[in-house]
Amino acid sequence: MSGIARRRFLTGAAALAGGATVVACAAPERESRVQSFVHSPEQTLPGQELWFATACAHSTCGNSVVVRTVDGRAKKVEGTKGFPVNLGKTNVRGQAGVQSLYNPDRLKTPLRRRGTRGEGRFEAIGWPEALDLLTENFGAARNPLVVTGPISGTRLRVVAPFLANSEGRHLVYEAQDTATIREAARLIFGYPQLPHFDIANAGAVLSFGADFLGTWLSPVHYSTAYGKFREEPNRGRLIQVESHMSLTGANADRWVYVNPGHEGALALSIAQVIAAENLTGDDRWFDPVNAVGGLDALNAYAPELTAARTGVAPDTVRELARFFATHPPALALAGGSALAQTNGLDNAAAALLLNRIVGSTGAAGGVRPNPAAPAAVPGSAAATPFNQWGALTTALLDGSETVDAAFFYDVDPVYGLPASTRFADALGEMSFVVGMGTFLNETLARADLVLPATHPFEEWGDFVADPAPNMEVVGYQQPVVTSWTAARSFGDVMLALTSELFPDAPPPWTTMRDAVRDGARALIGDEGFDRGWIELLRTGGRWQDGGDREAQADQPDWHINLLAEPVFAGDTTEFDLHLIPFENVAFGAGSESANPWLQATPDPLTTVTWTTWAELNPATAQRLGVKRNDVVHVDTPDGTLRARVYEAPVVPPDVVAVPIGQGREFGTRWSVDRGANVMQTLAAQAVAGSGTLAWGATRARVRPAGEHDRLPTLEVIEDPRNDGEAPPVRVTSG
Amino acid sequence: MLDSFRALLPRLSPKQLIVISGLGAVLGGGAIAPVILLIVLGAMGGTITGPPEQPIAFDHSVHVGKAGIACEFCHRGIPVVGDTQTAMSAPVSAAATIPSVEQCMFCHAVVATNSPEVQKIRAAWETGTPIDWVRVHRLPDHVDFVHDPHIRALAEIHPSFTTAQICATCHGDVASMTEVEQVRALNMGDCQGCHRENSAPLDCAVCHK
Repeated sequence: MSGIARRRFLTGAAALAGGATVVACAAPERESRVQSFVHSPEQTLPGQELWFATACAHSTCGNSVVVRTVDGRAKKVEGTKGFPVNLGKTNVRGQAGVQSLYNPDRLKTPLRRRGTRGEGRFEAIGWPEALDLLTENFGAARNPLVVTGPISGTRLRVVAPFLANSEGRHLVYEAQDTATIREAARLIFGYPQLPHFDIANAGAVLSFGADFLGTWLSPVHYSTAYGKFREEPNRGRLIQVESHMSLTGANADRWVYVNPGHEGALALSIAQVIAAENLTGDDRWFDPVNAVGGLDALNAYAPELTAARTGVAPDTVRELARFFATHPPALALAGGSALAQTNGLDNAAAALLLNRIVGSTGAAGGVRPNPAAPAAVPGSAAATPFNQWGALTTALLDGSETVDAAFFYDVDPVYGLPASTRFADALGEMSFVVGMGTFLNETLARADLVLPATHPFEEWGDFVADPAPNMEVVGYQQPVVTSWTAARSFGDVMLALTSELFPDAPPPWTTMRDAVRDGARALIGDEGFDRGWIELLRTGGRWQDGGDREAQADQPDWHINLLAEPVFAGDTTEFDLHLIPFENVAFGAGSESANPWLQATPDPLTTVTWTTWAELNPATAQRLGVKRNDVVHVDTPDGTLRARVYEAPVVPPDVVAVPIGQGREFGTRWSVDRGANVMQTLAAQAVAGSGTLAWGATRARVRPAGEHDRLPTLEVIEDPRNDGEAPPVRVTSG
Repeated sequence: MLDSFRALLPRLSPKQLIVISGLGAVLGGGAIAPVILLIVLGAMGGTITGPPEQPIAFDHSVHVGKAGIACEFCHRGIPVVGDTQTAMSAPVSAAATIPSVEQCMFCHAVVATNSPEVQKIRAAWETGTPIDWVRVHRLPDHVDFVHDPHIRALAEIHPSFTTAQICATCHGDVASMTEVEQVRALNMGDCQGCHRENSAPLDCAVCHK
């Protein structure tokens, strides 16, 4: 070696390393600056954290959260301690709230449509111009339409003056159907409110498809209750009966597959065994069984007679019945695809009937009535069932009905209703459409005017917990940060519009804050109101054990004969599989797919992220000649979608399960052109009796697309067919 | 870049710089070249230089020296001396804090409104624009400095001191400065020297948390 001596080489190398260190260590220029507030908010000091209690979603989640803010920015979300719904806990959606709040693809200003409807071309305009457009079009409109989610409390009260003055209609679009379980609870128990299912104190839980740890009604509350349910010395036992394994199913002591649509028949089989074998040890089963048709009618559901339909062996049914009847208090639940069948209401009624048969009602560990919402803060608005959406669509398309102006707030029926409903076309028939939301979606993209709505952390509001946790709960929502966009709250816009259009009969409040305070004043009274108001905001709300509860009806208002055979769209020879869409723990029905944290949240069972997959039984996959990561077409009589195969032995051989939530054309950079929207492929069938969408009643076939695309998963199955895929996380020791 | 870099390193007085440079010259060699380089650059950074140019020529000699405004009137993150109950004063912060534009306007809505510098404040207020002040005193990120215990300790040691005198211990006679500049090294040796003199703790974890 010549030229460079060792010492000189080391010197040079060290100097280079030193230089590199200097470059790497250089503090950013901004750190030598210090910025002062323009206004100094009370109690706010640079670098010092402040926590505010508020609500985690517009209305439906029912949880109260506290948000850590530093220098006027929201940093972290936790559950509000002591709040009786979520008991200091949150879920992944609550935690990811800050990423929706600061999402760069939020709607920031009002937008006016430039292109044709559905093209998604808009120009930014200011609020004065937007409000002019609103008043101009709604001023001339006859019977305008206001479409919202299942809003409750003051949000409902601020819409009322507008509807009353304009003789408008309020339609409630519920992306996650709760109408069927509400109606079933009313039929079986006579409760007008959703009851409290006391999982925490139950001895056994028999769940017909209710994914209460993941997506069913109030999962954060039930997850905490489930923790207590599992505690020794009286550890409860969970049996999950369903057609596609859910997160709750994966946690169950026993998981039983039932043929889709036959959950009610299985429930009645269990009831028949309890009655025939007198498993309760007394005659408590007699009255409820007698009221729904008597033992003779029930005997038609003896296990041997239903086994072929339900797919559950008679011995298994007897085991389930004996177990359920001998572990009091035993609780039966119903949800998920069991209710999304043409006979879903009766499936739910049959399942809930088991609670009456074993006497698990009105007491700890059973189904307990909830108090009515206080008059000053009304409970959630009843959802407009799917069949009414269908009727409206038909009427608009055939010209028998016209809509001059429609206001859509925080809903996306174009995304959530099946394409065969043709709601997108019906929207095109409406003369003037306003869409308000935090992100652009399929419905807003078809609006003439798009208004940016505040994030839940930026606005005033209140909500009534529904289902309530066996007490009256009103949650309060306050802005924890000032919006970084030009967004306004729905309440403020509705009040401004009403005042402008009807100066002779203006609403009693000018801002949403006034309206929320007014409701709170009615709750806590004038005396000591200021202190009480601060206390409401500090604790997240008000809850009390009192409140009037409707007594349980003497007898169920239901009959065994009502349980019909399920009807499926699609011929069994052409469409050989049941298509079971399911809600993703992160996205729910798809409203949260704009959020990158939630996109990256692995599905709890498959660990898939960022895309849509089709779960198939390995035997079915082999029969179809596909394997994991292969792209397939899932065809239904009304549509088709592309997804990648995920083989899972817990998927029954005659089922293809596809998660809901992806396949957006409009949204954020994280949600657009990603996966497929399974809702669009469904047949437009309604649940008899409740009228909601029977989203589990479509059949499908799976065709290989001849392509291969690796699924983004956290797990790796050591399978030679797996392309030698390397695990992203590998345990190397221990 | 060097301006940014200096903030990260211990600040050295000119005397310390000479000593370290001398040592560097004696010990200079290939293996310790990076160490020397870092020390020299650190010394450059640590050298106490003149006052930086601020976006608004705020004059402490007018506000504190002539008008007699107390330090904590504007720097609200620091406790009021003599107030043993923190709750009585504004909530204290680790930082002394820069006053908000709104606070300047408390007085300057009516005082010296024709001054060009005051008009800059008014413009910031009217347009809602925060003012980007240039930081004069900056400790590295690995130092967890909190004003509150230091001010309280000095108030105990010197019961006759006013807040301004306590602040002057580290910040110099700000009341006479037209432009604020750093007067002490405020490096680790400086901190330790004061801690030793006043029997304050010297554990690493007291400052490096």
